[in-house]
Amino acid sequence: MNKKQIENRIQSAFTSATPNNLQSIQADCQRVPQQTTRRTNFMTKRWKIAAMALAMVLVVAAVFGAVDLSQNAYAATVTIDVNPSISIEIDGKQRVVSVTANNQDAQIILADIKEDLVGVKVNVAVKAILGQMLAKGYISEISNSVLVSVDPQKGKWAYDEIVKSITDEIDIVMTEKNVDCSLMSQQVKRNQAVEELAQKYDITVGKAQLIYKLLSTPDSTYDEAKLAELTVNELAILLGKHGNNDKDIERKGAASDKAYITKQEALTAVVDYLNTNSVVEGLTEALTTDSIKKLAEFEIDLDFDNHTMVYEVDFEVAGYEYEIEVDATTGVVVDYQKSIDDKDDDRHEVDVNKDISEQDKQELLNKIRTLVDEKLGEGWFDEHKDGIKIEFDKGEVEVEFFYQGKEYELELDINGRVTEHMPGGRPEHPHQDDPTNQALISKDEAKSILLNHAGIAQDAVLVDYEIELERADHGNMMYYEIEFELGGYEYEAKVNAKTGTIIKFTKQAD
Amino acid sequence: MTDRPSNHPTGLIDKCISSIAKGAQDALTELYNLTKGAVYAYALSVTKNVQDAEDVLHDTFVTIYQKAHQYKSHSKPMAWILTIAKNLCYQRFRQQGRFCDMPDEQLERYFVANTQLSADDRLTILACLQKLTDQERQIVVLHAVSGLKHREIAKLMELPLSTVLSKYKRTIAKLKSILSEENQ
Repeated sequence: MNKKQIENRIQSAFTSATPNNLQSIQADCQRVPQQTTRRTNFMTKRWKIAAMALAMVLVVAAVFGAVDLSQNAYAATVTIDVNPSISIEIDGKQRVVSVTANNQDAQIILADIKEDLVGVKVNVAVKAILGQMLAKGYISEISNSVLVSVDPQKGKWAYDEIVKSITDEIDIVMTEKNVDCSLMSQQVKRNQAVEELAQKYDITVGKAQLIYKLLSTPDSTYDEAKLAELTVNELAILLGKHGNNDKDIERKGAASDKAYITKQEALTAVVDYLNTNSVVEGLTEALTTDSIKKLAEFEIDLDFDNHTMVYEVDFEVAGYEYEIEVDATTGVVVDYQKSIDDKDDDRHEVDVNKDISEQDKQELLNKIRTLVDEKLGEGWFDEHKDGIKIEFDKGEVEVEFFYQGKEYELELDINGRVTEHMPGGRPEHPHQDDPTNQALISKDEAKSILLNHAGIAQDAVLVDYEIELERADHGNMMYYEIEFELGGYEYEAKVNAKTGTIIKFTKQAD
Repeated sequence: MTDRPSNHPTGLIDKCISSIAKGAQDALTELYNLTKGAVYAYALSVTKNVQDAEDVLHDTFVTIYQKAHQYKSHSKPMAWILTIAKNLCYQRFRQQGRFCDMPDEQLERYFVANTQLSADDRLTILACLQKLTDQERQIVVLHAVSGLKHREIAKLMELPLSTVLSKYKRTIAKLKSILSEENQ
């Protein structure tokens, strides 16, 4: 077969396969008016809004008169990040010189309007873009955050003028559409670390600047790669958690958390978990969602950990600090930590820079032996010493080992005080109903669940297929991480190894 | 590599769109008959779902009818029509949250049941849908069925021309090997 014959076969195959639906097309064309309006009976409400936004751009462009492109030298770059990310270069008269889609979502937003935006005032362009984002569901009551970043050529005064014009417009659009907007605006500052972050994760400098802020918050434990995957709304939620006192980012309105379970639902999950496993010592009655709030240092916050938005619940009872994380989407408890509350304890004065002497090491080993044997039986430590990883560092010692397939961690300071005690993420007193005691599903079962979810045949030949059993960082959740390629797409997924629930699924063009 | 001569008479398609803009229903029928194969093939190559492709075919022609007055003749009517189809494909993608590819066996059942297809047609269409990557499939379909020039494909798919040219060549060679094997 030569090239021509193959082309003819392709043409014949697809042409023969084409259905004939002319009648239904003619019927629809007769039902809807031609030209007079972009609105059609069969189109969705969202498209009606999009069409109105576009019409508004054209009207305002007409009011401003002929498009003057003589001042093409750009004076500032404005970036709008939601999840679609769009960069707009504007001239000294705040007219759009060019518009760039920075990701695939942005291409969808600009598909119908890109050419109409050049030459109009930037606020009008932003209004049209926001209209499209609302129409296509990128901005909604469950994801209401918009980040406006302005990189002016002429300093702060230019920034103030541009950002006001844009944010005022966004305010109007959101008010018209009855969406409580969470609006963040910032001036792009020259910062090498931020620019490297933007380049590394192929995100805008504006979004990188926001991520940099989060990475710079006190006690930040965030992973930059994981933050880079988040939408602006999720970043806004995290920023809100760290207070609203950053003078570099002007904020208006709160980021929506309506995509997640409520605090009350999260608390119910926590209380059920704690009561079922009887892990809180020193309580005379079972916890309720009301009584837990009365415990010392009680706090509940939406946070982000290990690719997941979680509710973090903290409290203290009988000298222990408890920290429990609940998946904010599924309501499942994903992490449980209990550690000794070391506040107000004079004995806990530790010189973190102090090298541990051989004598101290021996004492610490004895302490560790006692703690482990208390938990797992007399003599367990010495029997399994070879499999126990013990690392001495300045001021502390870390212990890691496995028991019945589960990872245990222990940290002690130089004084022998337990600073972190994470018994494999499971309660110290395993209950027979403890979900961690249940059997895991097999790799084949996990694969089958994923293929069903993805609509892929069970016997499909998957390229570069990999499956590994993993444990959530500092959590009790075991999951299978699965990767493969098929039909030009890269699939990545995580399947809960106990419940078989899909906890992450992405499909990206190769 | 030379561009494949267009399967679609540009002048005639141009004229059809102008007539549709004036409300001529028969011009819509004529345009449909001239280009439905190209639109369906492209939609199927993007969505890999026969139902979605049929819906995109329907919506594309209704949109053409609606927007015919906006069309400016630049001798590239097929590129204009396929851009509408592309946007509708991506609109579906947004509405569904992801592409809903049909599983291989479902595609097989569908095409086996289609009596319009010869055995060769069936083998060819399934090879394109099951054995090629999305990009490979779209490039060959846009050239071989829709008659787009390689530079028009590059523009539509936002790819460098050199990529389109090399991928086209490689994909034809790949299909040649697959079809020769299956015909044996």
